[in-house]
Amino acid sequence: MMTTMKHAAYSLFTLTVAAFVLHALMALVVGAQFLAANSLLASILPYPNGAGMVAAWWRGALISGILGGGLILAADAAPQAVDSRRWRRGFLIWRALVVAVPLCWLLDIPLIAGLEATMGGVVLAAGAALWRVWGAASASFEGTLRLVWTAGAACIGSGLILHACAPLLTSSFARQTALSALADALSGQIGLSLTAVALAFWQLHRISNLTPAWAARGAAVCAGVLVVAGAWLALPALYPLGAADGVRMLGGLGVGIAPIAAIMVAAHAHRALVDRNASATLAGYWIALGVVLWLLGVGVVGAFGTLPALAVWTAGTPLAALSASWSSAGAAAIILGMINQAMAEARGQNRRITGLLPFWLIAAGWLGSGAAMGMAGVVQVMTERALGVAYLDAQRLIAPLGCLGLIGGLMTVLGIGVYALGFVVRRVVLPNAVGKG
Amino acid sequence: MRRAQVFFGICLSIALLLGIGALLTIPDATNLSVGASSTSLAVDSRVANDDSPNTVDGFAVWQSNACAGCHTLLGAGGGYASDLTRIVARHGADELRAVLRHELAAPSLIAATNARIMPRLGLTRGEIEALIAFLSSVSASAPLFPPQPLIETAIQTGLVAADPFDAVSTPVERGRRSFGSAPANCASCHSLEPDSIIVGPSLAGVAVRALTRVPGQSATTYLRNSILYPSDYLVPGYADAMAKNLGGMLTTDQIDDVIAFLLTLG
Repeated sequence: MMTTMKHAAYSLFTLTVAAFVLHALMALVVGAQFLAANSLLASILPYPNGAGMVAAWWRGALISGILGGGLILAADAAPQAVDSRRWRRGFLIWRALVVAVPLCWLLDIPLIAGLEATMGGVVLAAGAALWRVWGAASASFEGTLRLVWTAGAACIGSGLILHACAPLLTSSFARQTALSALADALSGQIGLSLTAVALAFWQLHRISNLTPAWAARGAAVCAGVLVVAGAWLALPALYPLGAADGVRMLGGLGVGIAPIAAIMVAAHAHRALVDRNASATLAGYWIALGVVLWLLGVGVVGAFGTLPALAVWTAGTPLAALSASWSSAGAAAIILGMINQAMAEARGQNRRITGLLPFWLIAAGWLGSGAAMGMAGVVQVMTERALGVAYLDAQRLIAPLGCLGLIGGLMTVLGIGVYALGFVVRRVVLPNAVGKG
Repeated sequence: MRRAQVFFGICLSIALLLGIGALLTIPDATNLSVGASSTSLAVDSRVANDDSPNTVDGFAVWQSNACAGCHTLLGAGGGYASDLTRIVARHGADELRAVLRHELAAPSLIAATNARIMPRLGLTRGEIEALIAFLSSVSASAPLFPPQPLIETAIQTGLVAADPFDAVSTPVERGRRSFGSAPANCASCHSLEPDSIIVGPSLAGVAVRALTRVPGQSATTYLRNSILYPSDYLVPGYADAMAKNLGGMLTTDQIDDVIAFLLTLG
């Protein structure tokens, strides 16, 4: 049965897949900067604008997936709730924003901050609307997922608005930079992780024999430790800005907190994945990938990055950005799993929607390009920071690793391309489905 | 299950309080710029004192000209041109002013093999001063970024011998070596003996002459310009025969070393 809420979710998933494809293609184009410094590409597409587009499409894909997943969770928990075509129309604004923001980056139109604040507003409104539809708070499985998902959506929305409004709140460079870093952590490390945990536990419950009570407790506990770890991972961005000694000392505790959070999530996922039921889809693979990326991004790179003695060397290098990159990729993997699971259920055929080929290609692409990014960070620290090589000379030394990252980018493009193909070929036939709910 | 939800709520509260608390400890860069010269950061006292233009205006100039599209501050930004966090402390306000007025090419641009070109921004005098004040304040607000290179620390603390491979330690000594060896080979055309002409003019006493060659230019600026743009100012009576690609052959540090050496030829 395809309710209109699920129909709206399906539209958002379509947008998610399209944005992932565009992001992967654009990331490959921007990554080509390492091939030739004076390429024709550089004159056609200024790289800073291209990098902005890449980030905008990534954000658009992630949030579209989160919103679509939230609708599925709400429709599943409260099938009797208000279910009208307004859902579909309501997300027209969102779709327009996902298209408009990258275009503004490309054309250098100074509307980006305003549009991104609007994006945050839409996410907040969606969270509030789903909170209402979902019903009263309860100590149930659905109630716990609702709590975690809406808290995550609120963090994403607030983070986006805060980031866009930072220049209005303070004219000081240091405070503006600190505010933007914390806003990014609020929307990325915290909000994205929370919503992804809610989607992950919904999938784990669907594909395993776990009881709802166990899954609900697991979701709340994992969300709690991840949110604390996310806050700790945001602190290193403040170290170079003259953060107080107390903050630096407190931040150092992250080296213990972040791995505990990542291991707790991994342990819960493992418990579910070893006890899969007969109707399990490929969602389990994607959750496993998400957990591995969180283990690496939060539990290893992020944890060591919180040490003030280490962070002072890695600040502003690709190594410092790797934690956020891998943990957002972990959330993306969970969203791709959610699409797989939700589409299999919508079709009424519990079969592979997108196959294993895209899974392995995307996993290799994300892990490979992340590893290249990490190595580039190490080279920059060793040359520029330790030996005192000039900044641009160090960048030249990093360039071959950038080319290595391009191979990862190419695998991601192929993987997401095959995923999109599977998504289109095994699509839900909407004209027959709409209105039957 | 309810207890798990309460645990989640407590964790969320801790995270938000931690973020807000940490933000409140960040000092205001606008205030830091005042009196920055009294710190040990070697910030130019002429641009970071009470009379300096407001750093807020400089930040506005930075943003309106999309400087972060190419440059980085604290490592964040485009990454297509130099990190400017410590630019004022390292190169001084005079040199930065000359670059922004297009009187001097940015050394890092010349040294890089890839010819990324700094656009002509057409900044007014006031905007340039505001931008320099802003960059001074950034330098002051990030005293630990980037850390001093390990090798320099090791040399200063005596843990390792300075440049153990060829026993060259100070910039002047390194510059003397670059002056007489490849790839620059300056000594093959310029003598260091007074009135001794090989191809180009003798550089004996050049530190004194450089001060007055071009009105308004410091000796350092004149020497750097002469290395990077030898045709810009020709000593009367000499042909325009000097190599034009020294900026591509030498690194920024090597050029700085050669200048340090030439400034000893008083």
